[in-house]
Amino acid sequence: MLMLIWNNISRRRAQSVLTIAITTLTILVFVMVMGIFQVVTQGLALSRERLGADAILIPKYASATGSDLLFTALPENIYMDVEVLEQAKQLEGIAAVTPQFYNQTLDLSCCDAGTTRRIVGYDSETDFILTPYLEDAGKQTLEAGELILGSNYDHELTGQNYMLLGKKFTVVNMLQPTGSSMDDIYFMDIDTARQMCLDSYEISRNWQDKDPFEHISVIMVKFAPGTDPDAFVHQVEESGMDCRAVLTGETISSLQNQLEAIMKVMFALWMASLVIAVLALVGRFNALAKERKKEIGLLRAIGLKQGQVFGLIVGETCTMAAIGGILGSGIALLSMDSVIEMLREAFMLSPSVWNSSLALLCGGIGVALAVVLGFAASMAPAWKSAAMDPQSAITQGEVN
Amino acid sequence: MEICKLEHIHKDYRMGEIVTPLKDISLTVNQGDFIAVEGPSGIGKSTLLYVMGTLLQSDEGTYTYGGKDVSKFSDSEKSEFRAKKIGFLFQDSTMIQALTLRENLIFTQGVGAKKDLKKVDELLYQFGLEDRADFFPHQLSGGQRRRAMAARCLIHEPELILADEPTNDLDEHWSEEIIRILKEQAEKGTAVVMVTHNARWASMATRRLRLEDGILTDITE
Repeated sequence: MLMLIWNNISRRRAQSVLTIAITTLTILVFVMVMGIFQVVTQGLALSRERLGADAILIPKYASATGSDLLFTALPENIYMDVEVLEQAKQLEGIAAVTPQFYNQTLDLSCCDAGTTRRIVGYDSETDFILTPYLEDAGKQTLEAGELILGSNYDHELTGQNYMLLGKKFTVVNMLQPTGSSMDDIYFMDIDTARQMCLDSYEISRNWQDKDPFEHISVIMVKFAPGTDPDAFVHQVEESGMDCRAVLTGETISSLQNQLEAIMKVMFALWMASLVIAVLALVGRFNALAKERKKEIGLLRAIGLKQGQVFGLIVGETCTMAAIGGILGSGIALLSMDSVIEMLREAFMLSPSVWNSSLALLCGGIGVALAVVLGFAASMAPAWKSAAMDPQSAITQGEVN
Repeated sequence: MEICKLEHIHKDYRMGEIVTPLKDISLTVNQGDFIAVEGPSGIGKSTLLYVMGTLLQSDEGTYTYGGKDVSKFSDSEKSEFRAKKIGFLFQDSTMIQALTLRENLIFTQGVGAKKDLKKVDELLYQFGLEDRADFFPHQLSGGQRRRAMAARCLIHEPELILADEPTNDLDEHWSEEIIRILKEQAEKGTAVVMVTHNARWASMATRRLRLEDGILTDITE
């Protein structure tokens, strides 16, 4: 019986290819939608969980949004007076604050990263953002020529030299994945980042008579237990400080809502494609059963039972569906890296949670769904064929 | 020794009007019988074979095989009965399209009996198909397909062969050869019921029956 199933598939190539193609496309779309959904939701959950800061204080008139700061590693040249840090420490409901100073790499400069990325100078004395994610927990305080890289950089770089803005650094530590912009950022000591603004010819021109050492870019804030986030935002507004508060949770929720709406649309489109695929497959299997009516009559005449004929047709369709499922899942998984990269660019998202176990889960569900799809679409035609009166099948069936 | 017995078999078809190909058929088939059923086209000869092969249920009458009432068999029991006891040679050249000739024989054999590849090769040789064994049905001529179906009919060594116009599509040589093989089977103890229009082949049977107006008449000389 298995031989007949396999021969019916492999030797009726044109018909099999069409059936497999329909399944492949359906499962391809499904696995991609599911993979993206998983990446987005888990990435956002991870960001929320690992971000560390409950709020970010940014310069009052800066145009950067919370999403820009949290989910992209693009340069953000925003600065406020270092005095704001002292004022922030006086705010109610605060457990910890730590300043960060932003610099950037350049894409046209000699001896640089070759692309524009944010450089973050952090204060290792007060930092509570990076510390939990350092791969080497013993190396937290940085010297002037030392650098920490986000998790998306090549881990082989640890211990190697790295040129930024014409200055040579040694990579001394890497971060574990955070699912946020931190994965793509260069981290160094805050004063080193400030000094690089003065040392770089291109960047120093932007500072003119201003002193980077008198400025910071953002202040990361950790709330004391019980602090009402909205009340904190209101407090900052009322304080007259030269900054405004961005709630990280709110930013993530907002982004999550937008992405969930898009995912719902994608899911609805996939459902529509699934219905079309089911109809197409039912049509194909009905046509196949009709084409092979005489042959099914013959099978019954030589002694195959109804259940065996049913099993033969369902076996054929499920095998083709499984092949389509494997192909669809495989192509989808192979394309996921490019899709994730597109997502990162389009949604300012850093979905670094895509890994082999998630890929296996999505692929496995894709193949299982394909088999269910094949089974569901072939049930009625298979049952109709199996229950057919053998004599009618032989005498009325069309000649193959 | 009796193999099967039909008593007062009646079968109607409803095709706009009611057609009654089998009005009152009674027939006993014994081991070693070589029966020819003659009659005009469309009179119901094939219907009789379908009833005897349990592919069609009669409306009235009793059909017993080996003393058992076949009409009381479940669908599964009928399948098993066909697989083990019956060898069909249909009027149309029906084969499993995705299997080669050799695979068609092996598959059919496997449904009703243990696989015996020696037997497969013997039959291919007997029907002059050894050089076509790995051809697919659509690669065979009408005559070759007919011979292949005859080989398939014998592959599981059935007790009762039901042959519907077995010489269709065959040249003189192979027509004679098929009839000779069927006769040889009967001599070995298999019962053969053959539907034919050809008086020459019918004359080679041990019993000749004529079906007309739903009634079977013995015309053996």
